[in-house]
Amino acid sequence: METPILQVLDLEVKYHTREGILTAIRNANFEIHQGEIVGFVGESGCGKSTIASAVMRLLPPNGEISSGKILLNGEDLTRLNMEQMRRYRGREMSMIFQDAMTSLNPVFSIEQQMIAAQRAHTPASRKQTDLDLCRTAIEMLDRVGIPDAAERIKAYPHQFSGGMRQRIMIAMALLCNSNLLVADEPTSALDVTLEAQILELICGLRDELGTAILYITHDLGVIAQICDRVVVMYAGNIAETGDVYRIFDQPKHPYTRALLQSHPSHRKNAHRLRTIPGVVPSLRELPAGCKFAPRCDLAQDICHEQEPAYHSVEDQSVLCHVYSPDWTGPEEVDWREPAQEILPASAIDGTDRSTGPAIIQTRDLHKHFADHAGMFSQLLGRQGGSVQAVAGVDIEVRRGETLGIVGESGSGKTTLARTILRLIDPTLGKVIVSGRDISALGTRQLQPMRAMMQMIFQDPTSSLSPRMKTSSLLIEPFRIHGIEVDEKQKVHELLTMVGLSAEQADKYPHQLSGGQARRIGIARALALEPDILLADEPTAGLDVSVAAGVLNLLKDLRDRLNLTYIIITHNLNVIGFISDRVAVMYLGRVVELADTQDLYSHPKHPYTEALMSAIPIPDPDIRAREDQIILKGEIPSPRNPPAGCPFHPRCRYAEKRCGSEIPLLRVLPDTNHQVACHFPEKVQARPI
Amino acid sequence: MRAYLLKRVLMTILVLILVTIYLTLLIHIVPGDPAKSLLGPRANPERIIKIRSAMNLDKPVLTQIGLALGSLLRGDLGTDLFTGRSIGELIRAALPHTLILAWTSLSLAGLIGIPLGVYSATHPDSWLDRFTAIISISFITVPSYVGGLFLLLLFAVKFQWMPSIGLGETGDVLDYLKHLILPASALAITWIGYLARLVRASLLEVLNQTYIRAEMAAGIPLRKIYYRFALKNAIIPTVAVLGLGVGNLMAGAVFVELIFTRPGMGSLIYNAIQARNYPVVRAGVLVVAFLFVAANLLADLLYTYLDPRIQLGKARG
Repeated sequence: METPILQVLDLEVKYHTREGILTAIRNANFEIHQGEIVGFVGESGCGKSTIASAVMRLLPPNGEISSGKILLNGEDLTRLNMEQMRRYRGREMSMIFQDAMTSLNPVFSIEQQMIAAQRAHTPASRKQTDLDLCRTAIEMLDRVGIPDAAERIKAYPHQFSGGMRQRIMIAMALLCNSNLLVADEPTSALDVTLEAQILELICGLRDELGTAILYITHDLGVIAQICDRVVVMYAGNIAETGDVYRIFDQPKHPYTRALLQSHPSHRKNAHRLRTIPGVVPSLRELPAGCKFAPRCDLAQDICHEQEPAYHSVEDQSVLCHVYSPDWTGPEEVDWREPAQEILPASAIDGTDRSTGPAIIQTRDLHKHFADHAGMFSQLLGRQGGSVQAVAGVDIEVRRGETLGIVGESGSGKTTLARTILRLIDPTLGKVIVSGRDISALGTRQLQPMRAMMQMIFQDPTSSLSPRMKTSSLLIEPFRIHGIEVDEKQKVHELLTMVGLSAEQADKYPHQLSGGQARRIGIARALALEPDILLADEPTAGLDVSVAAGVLNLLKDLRDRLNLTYIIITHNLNVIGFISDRVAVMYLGRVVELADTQDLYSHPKHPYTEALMSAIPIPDPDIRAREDQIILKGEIPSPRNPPAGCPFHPRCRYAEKRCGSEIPLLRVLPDTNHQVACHFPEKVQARPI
Repeated sequence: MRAYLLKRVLMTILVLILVTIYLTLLIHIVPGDPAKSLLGPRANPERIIKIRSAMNLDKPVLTQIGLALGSLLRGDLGTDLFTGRSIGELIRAALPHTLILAWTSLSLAGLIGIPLGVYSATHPDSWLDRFTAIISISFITVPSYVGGLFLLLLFAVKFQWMPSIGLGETGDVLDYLKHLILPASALAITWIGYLARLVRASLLEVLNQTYIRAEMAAGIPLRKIYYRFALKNAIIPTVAVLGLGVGNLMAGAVFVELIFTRPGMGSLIYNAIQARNYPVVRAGVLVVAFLFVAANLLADLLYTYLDPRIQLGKARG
C-alpha cells in the first residue's frame, strides 16, 4: 500500500493553563492518503480544531504536542524547528479557515497577499519576478472561479462577497500545490447554495490535483456528501473511524449513533428528536473511564471505571467497551428507530391548524431602507437611493401553526420578522394581528400588543444583559409591563417550563452554556404568556445535540401552550423539522409558500428546487446526485435588484418574459401551494 | 474624493476666518490699551495715536474684523510694530526651524516608539515588554519642558556632550543637527511612550485575527507578518492620534524652543506676547492653526492610503 500523505501516530496535545495541564487530544491515530477527504466531526470542544492546529504546528503558545508523531510524507513534523516548519507550511500543507470574512488581510490587495504567500517559498536565487508570481496567482483565481481574475486581483478583500472570499482563500492555499489541505469548517458561515458551490469546488480540486484533505465540520450532511472516510471525535478522543458509507449505515459508537439521531430533517417533522443528555464535558472535569459514559444509554459499571480500548469492528475502529469480548451489557440497539416519541395526534394530522383563523396577516408589506447620504452631499442636493429589504409580502399565519420563513442572507427574512413585530415601522402595507391593524398604532397603543407577540433573539449571549442574573432577566418583562407577580414562584415556573433546574436562577449569562442561554431567551419570551412567538435562527451556533433539545422544547411548548410560531432560519433541515408551512424568500419577496412536506417533495419554484437540492443530507448514498442543481452566482444586492423576476438571472428555466415581468404569488389550482413563477410546471418533482 | 478635498479646504478656510475673528476680539478682551502697554508708561500721545491707527484700533470693531479678514484674504500678515519689518518675513525665518524640530521629533518618536510597541506586542509579558511598559508610562507622564530641562542639564551641562542652546553655526549642517538632537529628543519623549503603548494595544488585537493565522499557515516569515501585514492594520488608529497630536506637539515646541533658546514659531509667539506685539501674535497663531488643520487633513489622507475600506466623503455603512 502506498504511504499516506499524512500519518498521525499516538498524538497527545496538552494545554498549560492556570488550572493546570489539560489534555486536549489523547492517543490519536489516523492517516490521510493522496486524493482522500477525511472528515472530522464532533461537537465543539471535542478537539477537532486542536487536531488541525497540531498538524499545522500552529497551536497557541500554551499548547504543546506532548507525545506522538505527525508524519507528512514520512517526515516527522514534531521534530522540526520553527523555521523548518515554516517552509513546510503553505508549500507542503496549507489551511483554510471558517470565516472567509476575516481570513484575508483587509488592508492588502489580493495580489499583494498572493504574491507574499508565494514569496515565502520562492528562493531568491531562482529569479521569479513578481509578474510571474502574479500570473500564477491569476491562473489559480481563474481555476477557483473568480471572474475577470486578472483585473479583480488588484482589488481588496472587502470588495468581494463572502463566497468569493472563500474561493480566494482556497486559491491562496493551493498556490504552491500543497499535498495536504487542512480545511477548518470552510463552509459553516455560508448559505446553503454557496456551500454547495464551495463543496463542488473542493471536490473538483481534489480530483484534479490529488490533494489530501483533512476536513473539519460539525455538519454530518457535509461529511456524508464529500468525505471518503470519517473520524468521529469526542472529548479529545477519536471515538470511531471508518469508511463514510459504513459510518452512516452501521455506526458502531453510541456517540456516532446519537449524533445521527439528533440531526433534524423534514422527515422527522412529526416526531421529537432523540437528544443526547448532558453536554460535552469540559477538559477540566473529564469523567473517569469512558468519556462518553455519562451520556451513553448503553453504559455499564465498567464504562465509568475503565478506559475503553480501540476495537476493530468490521471495517471500523471503535473506542468502546461494547465491542470487547468481556462485554455483558446490552449490545445492538436498533439505532434508527429508538425513543422518538410521537407527538399528540392533533399535532400530527394538523387538522385544527390548517383550518384555524389567521392570527397574523400582512398585506403588501414593504420595508425600504434609505441609503444615507452625508450632510454635505445633502447640501449639494444629492439623494441616497433606497434598499427594498421587504418588497410586498402577503402572508397569513393561522392560530397554532408554525410558519417557517427560509431564505439566504440578504433575502429580507429578518427585516420581515421585525416589521411584523413593529420593532421597525413598515414603509407601506399593513400588519393585522388578531383582526387589528397594528401598522398605524402609536407606542402606547402598541404596548399591550407587545405582550402578546414576543421574539426569541438570534444571539442569546448578546441579547441578555450581562449584568443581570437569570432571575432578574426572567422577571424583567413583568416589571416593564407593570404586572405584579410572585417573583420567586414565577422564576421557578419559567425555568421548569424550559427544562432548566432552579439553580440556574442565580447565574449570570456568561456562566450559562449556549443551550442554557438559548433556553433563558425562550423563557423570557414566554414570561408574559404571549400568543405569538417569533424566533430568529433559534439554533444558530448550537451543537447538534443541544440544538435538538431546543427544537424539541419549541415543539413541546407549542403544543402545550397553543402558541403560534414564526421561525426564521437559513437552515433547511431545521425549518423542515419544525414548520407546518414554509415560506421561501428571495430578495424581499416570498417566492413560494406551501405545506412543509409538499414543499420538500414537490418544490414548484426553481429557487426552492435549487435550495432543496443543495441541502447536505447525512446519507452518502444520495451524494453526487447527477441531477444536483448548483446555482451559479449569488443573491444580487437588494440595492440594485434585477428587473422582472428577481431570480431570473440565476434561473435555469428563465425565458424572455421573466426578464421584464415580475411574477405574482398565486395559488396553484387544486392545491394549497402558492408560487411566484411564470413557469412552475417546468420544475419536475425530485423527492429527497 | 474631489468633493471631499473641496469640503476639507472649505473647512480650513472657515477655521482660519474664525481664528482671525477671535484674535481681533482678543485684543479688546485683554485688559489695558494695547497701544499703551506696547509703548510703555511714558509713551508720547502722538505715537499712541499713530500706533492705534496702524493697528486699526481707532475704527469700529466690526470694521477691524473686516479689515483683518481682508488682509487674510490677500495673504498679508501685517507689519511688526517694533521693527517695521513684514511679519511674513519673520515667519518665513522662524517657521522652518519649528517644522524641522517637529518633524524630527515625530520621526524619532515613530522610529523608536513603533518598534518598541511591536516588540512588546509580539513578546507579551517578556521582561522587555514589562520594562518598556514602565519606560513608556513614565515617558508619557514627562512633560516636554521637564524632559527638556533634564536633558539640558544632563547632556549639555554635566557631560557637555551636546551643545546647549541656539541653532549652531549658520550654514554648518552638521552643527545644526547637533543642536537639534536635544530639543527634538525632549519633544519626542512623551510621544515615544505614547506610540509604544498605542501600537502594542492595537497590534495585540490584530494578532488575534484569523488572517494572521492564515498568513502563518501560508508559511510567511513571522518577521514579515509582524512588521508588514499586521503593523499596517495596527498603525491605522495611531495615525489618527498623530494627526491630533500635532497641536500638542506645537504647544510642546514653545517650551522646548524657550529652554534651548532656539528661534522658531514658539519663541516668536512667546516673545511677541511678552511685548504685546499683537500683529505678530495674530499672524503666528494663524499659521499654527493652519498647520494643525493641515496635519489633520494629511492624517485623514494617509488613512485612506492605509485602509482601502475607508472611502472619504462617503457615509460609512
